[in-house]
Amino acid sequence: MTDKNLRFLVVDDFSTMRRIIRNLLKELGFNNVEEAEDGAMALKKLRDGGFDFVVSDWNMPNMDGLTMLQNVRADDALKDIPVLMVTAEAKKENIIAAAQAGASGYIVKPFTAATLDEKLNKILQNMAVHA
Amino acid sequence: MNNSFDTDKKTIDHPGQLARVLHNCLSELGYDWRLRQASHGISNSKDGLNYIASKTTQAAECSLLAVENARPILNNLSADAANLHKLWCQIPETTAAIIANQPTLNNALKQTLDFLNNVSSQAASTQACLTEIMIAQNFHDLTGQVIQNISRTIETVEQEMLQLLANDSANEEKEIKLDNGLLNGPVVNPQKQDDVYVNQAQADNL
Repeated sequence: MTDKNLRFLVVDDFSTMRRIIRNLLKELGFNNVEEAEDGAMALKKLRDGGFDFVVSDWNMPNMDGLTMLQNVRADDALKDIPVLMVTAEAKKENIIAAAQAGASGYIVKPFTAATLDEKLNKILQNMAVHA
Repeated sequence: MNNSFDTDKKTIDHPGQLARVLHNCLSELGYDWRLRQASHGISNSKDGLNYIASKTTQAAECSLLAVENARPILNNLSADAANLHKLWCQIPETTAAIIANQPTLNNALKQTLDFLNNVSSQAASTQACLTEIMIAQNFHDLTGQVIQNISRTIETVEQEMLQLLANDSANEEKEIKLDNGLLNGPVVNPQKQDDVYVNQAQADNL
């Protein structure tokens, strides 16, 4: 059974997208959701501690999602947090780069509620297995 | 000696004269005017893109707000119906027997209970529709990214165009004749235009 108190960080420069993902998470029962509008702000929040899951866009100002992911994986305190990329970048190279950087999952925009649900559950199941 | 100097001078002067003739010809053909017109068009395109960005933002935010407001209403409806259904099921057996003997009342009660029973599944279907509406708003993120890219390209082209105009020796202000047709579409920048109406009342007054 998934812990519905998991603390999520949703990272996207478009407030509409942050709001959509926040609402979808709420529908799935996750009410503990915070937002950041770029990779730099996300890293700062993550380093302040307490997050269990990151859902991040790729193309953002200041620091993009891939750089943020690389920073997360290089940080001993953060390296085990799952990072699900949700992005319009749909090239093969993008998906490979994200996988190499240690992304836990990759969703291409536009996506459906079912896709988010499925990827999220897959990652949460892996988390449970490795916990 | 003199002869060679004359030849050199001709070699140097000739291309210069040709360039001047070419420049004048282009000016007469109106290329600088066209540049100015193109520059004006670019400025209009930027306004147009900003207009699209702002209208799509408004539409997406309006839809999201409506969805967010509708959800708790549906939840309440569903919970209230379930509660009412429960209350009716708890009426004492003697009362239930009396109702059962009154065909009209009994029929009304049965239909009411069926209705109350269906409310929650219908509310769930409506919630699913709301999710569809909500997720459809991700067009805003996608079109927004494309608009950002186009804006950057236009910015570059505009800079180059302005450079060309600045290099133009004939730098006098030239009036740009606008094409004032009747098919201009929505007013994207009312502040810059004094010949448009921005609300219905102004149109009604006319």
